Amino acid sequence: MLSIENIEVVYDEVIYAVKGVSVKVPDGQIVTLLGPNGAGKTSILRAMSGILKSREGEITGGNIFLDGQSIAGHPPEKVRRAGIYLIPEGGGLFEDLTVEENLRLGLLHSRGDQADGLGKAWEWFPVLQQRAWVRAGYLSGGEQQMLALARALLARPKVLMLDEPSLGLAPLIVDELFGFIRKINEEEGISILLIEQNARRALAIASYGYIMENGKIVLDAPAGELLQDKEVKEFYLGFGQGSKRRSYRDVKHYKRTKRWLS
Amino acid sequence: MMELLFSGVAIGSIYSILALGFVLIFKCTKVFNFAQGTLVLVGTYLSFTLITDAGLPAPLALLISMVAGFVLGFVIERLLLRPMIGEPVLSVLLLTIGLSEIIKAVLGLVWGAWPRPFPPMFPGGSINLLGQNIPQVYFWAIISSLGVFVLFILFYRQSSMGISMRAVATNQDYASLIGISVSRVFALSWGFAALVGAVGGVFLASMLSVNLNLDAFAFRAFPGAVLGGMDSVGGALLGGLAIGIIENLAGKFVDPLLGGGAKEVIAFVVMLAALLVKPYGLFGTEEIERL
Ligand SMILES: Nc1ncnc2c1ncn2[C@@H]1O[C@H](COP(=O)(O)OP(=O)(O)OP(=O)(O)O)[C@@H](O)[C@H]1O
Ligand SMILES: [Mg+2]
Repeated sequence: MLSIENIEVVYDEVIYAVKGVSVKVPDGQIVTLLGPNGAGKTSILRAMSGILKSREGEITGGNIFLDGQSIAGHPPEKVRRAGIYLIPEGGGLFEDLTVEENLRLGLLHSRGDQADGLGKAWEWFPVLQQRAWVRAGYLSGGEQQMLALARALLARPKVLMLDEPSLGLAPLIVDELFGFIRKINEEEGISILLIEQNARRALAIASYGYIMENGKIVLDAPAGELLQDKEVKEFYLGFGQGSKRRSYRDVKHYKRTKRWLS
Repeated sequence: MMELLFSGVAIGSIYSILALGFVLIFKCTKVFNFAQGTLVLVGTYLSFTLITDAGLPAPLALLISMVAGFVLGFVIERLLLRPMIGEPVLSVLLLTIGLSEIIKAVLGLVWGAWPRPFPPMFPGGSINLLGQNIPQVYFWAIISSLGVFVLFILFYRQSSMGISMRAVATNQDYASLIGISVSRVFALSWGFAALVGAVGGVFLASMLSVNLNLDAFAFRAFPGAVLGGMDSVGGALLGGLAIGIIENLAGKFVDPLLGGGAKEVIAFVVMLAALLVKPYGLFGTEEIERL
């Protein structure tokens, strides 16, 4: 189980991006973390994967445990080798490298079957095999997210974290992508922490959800309950209609609701 | 004219190897290594001693020097460059210049400043290539250079380690996220740069002599690296060859007009001109900055 306990993240020593957040990802589950722009979602992922330092950020409080072992403050390659794999916003692909080369890097430190090579990736994503020799930078946005997912599949982590995979993709592609995310979870038994702004879709495949605003968790519940929650419906699922929209917490969020409709 | 071209290609293929040294480090670490010339010196002097004093056969001496160079490069990165990660480019650059001076002083103390002939590594006489008689050493320089480049291109394309190194060259954050130790790749880059430096240096010394100014000569390969784009292995090959040929032509046709000197600076003139036209060199990766 991945367990984030009261984590705090500060940038440049003065910008408090995450103010004591706790999130649990039980083995084999899909957990989603939702929230508007600037809520601090990406910062939590950076804290976990050890890349805060290169962004002038640091963990100032709390801890992160993977199966009881603290991994807070470890360098990224060590976190990865411990079994936590992050697909950052945009996919984290090496644009100058070919599809095949990108996939081969997924086999580094993989807990999966090395003998099978790239076989599983080709099997799941035949489109990628046709484009094996193309540079990753030349793939379409949807193909890039598929490639990022295929690489994670080969990497076989314990926990897979995804930062807004649906960003900028057409609805049909998002459906396909989320289908694969669910499949990775179900067939490979990989736990997933999914960060999204597309609340409706994320809650549809998750078993539990957290909603974050301004660096804090403001609500957490099983996904089914969140989908029914009156205020969540209004502000995060785009059901709210009235002219006097209130924010979940305060009026600052008024402008943001629009993006949640996608 | 053909002869001029051949010797240009021969010298150029040595420049290519020397340019590769700059490229290997810059590609992954984005550092201009101004100590590359002295790394070349170290490998050369070591080979020299192993052959003349220890009596080892030349190929074995070269092999040992390559390994020793690799270790030296690796250690220099660990001890001196590692603490500088994240420091301003200028500080790192000054560090490599300082390092270069220190190594050179040590070499001078150990081996003395006077030039010495390098023991002949290749049979004397010439060899017939495409109807031209060219000195054996030229022939072997071209063959070795091609060999070095084929090996490095295969290494970077095929091996997991090579692909990891290219991944670091593309995006360090992403590379570390996927489990690659960026610092290890940095150290390896320095190791490889010093290794190829030893190869280039031995050929250079075979054609000239062993002396403490070979580093300046080696530095004339730098424009070759820049022409090739600083981060492209194939670019280093072509850039080095171009410099060799251009220098020879300048020596033949421009030097008589100016009374000499053109051959020595033409590479840098070409580099400046090329930078004005194509800031990323002929084969360099254009910056695709994404945030
Ligand atoms: N490198 C940085 N330096 C300083 N402040 C930062 C940095 N990165 C993020 N922040 C700030 O921290 C806060 C949280 O940002 P973060 O990127 O974690 O939000 P997010 O929830 O991922 O938003 P989005 O949905 O837009 O990706 C924001 O106010 C942001 O401006
Ligand atoms: Mg974000």
